[in-house]
Amino acid sequence: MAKSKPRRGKQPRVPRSFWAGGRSRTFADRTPWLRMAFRGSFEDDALDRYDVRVIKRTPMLGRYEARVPVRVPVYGDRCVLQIEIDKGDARVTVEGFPNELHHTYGDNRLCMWDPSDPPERRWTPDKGLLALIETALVHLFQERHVAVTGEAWPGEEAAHPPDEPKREAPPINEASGPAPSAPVRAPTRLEKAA
Amino acid sequence: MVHRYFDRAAEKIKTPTTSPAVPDGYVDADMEQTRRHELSKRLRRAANDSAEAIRVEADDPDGAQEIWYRLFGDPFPKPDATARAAEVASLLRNTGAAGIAGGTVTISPAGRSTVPGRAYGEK
Repeated sequence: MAKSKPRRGKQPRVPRSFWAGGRSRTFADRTPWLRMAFRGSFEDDALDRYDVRVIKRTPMLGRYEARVPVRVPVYGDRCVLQIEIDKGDARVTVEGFPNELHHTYGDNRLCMWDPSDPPERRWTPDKGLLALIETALVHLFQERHVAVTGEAWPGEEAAHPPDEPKREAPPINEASGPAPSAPVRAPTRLEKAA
Repeated sequence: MVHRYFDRAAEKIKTPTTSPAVPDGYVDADMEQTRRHELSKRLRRAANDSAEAIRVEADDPDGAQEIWYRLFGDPFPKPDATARAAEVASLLRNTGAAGIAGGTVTISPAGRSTVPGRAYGEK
């Protein structure tokens, strides 16, 4: 029986690398913050509902900065959200809030989720800017309610171990992993000679 | 419907408005394009807020009233913040999350869901 000739033409593209579980590693997997580049899905809903004043938008680098004047739900106090996003990590700071914050990393930076929680309990860029603003609005209501009524926090709180040392605010790009070290290269002939 | 008024106004304000009562034909001929764009965005937000107020009105009449009050100000009856705050806080304690409509929290299931995070950080 004659061997069949190998088929010529376009061959299916094989990914160069794989995750441990065998799932193909795509460019989109390696650069989740690039979803911000698709403005339609990232910020358009928010622009239609809030007075978003964009300060910096460099989606290819995963950076985004904006100021959003809002009113605290139910109580109606006016304040401004300062939003900074860097490669998928969001930092939301409130300016002009009428009282001291209960859950904060300091400098009025809102602490809306536990950084060690799974993605469905944290904000991620695929949820869009609107979800970030509105999650911050719920947090502002909770802060104001505690200050006005003196009641316990209305909602879930992440438990702190009693002997836990004072925790610093995570750096804005902690979740994207440690900074890449300098590539290792072979010494040049000049270096060898020295 | 109010949201339809805002919706049409958001489009109409992008171009000069004619009027037979004005000698040169336009009531806003001297308005700059950037100002028109800014006002159109405000009207678009008002259209979205009023549409959301109508959507949540059946399940959360107090929430809808708050949205209308934010849009129209004092001529509209001011909602009772104390009772509403207790209602929303109770929802947050029981479910861990609340919906958003018209820039405020709502107890209506028609509100947009938010991230159900656990508040953290130093107290």
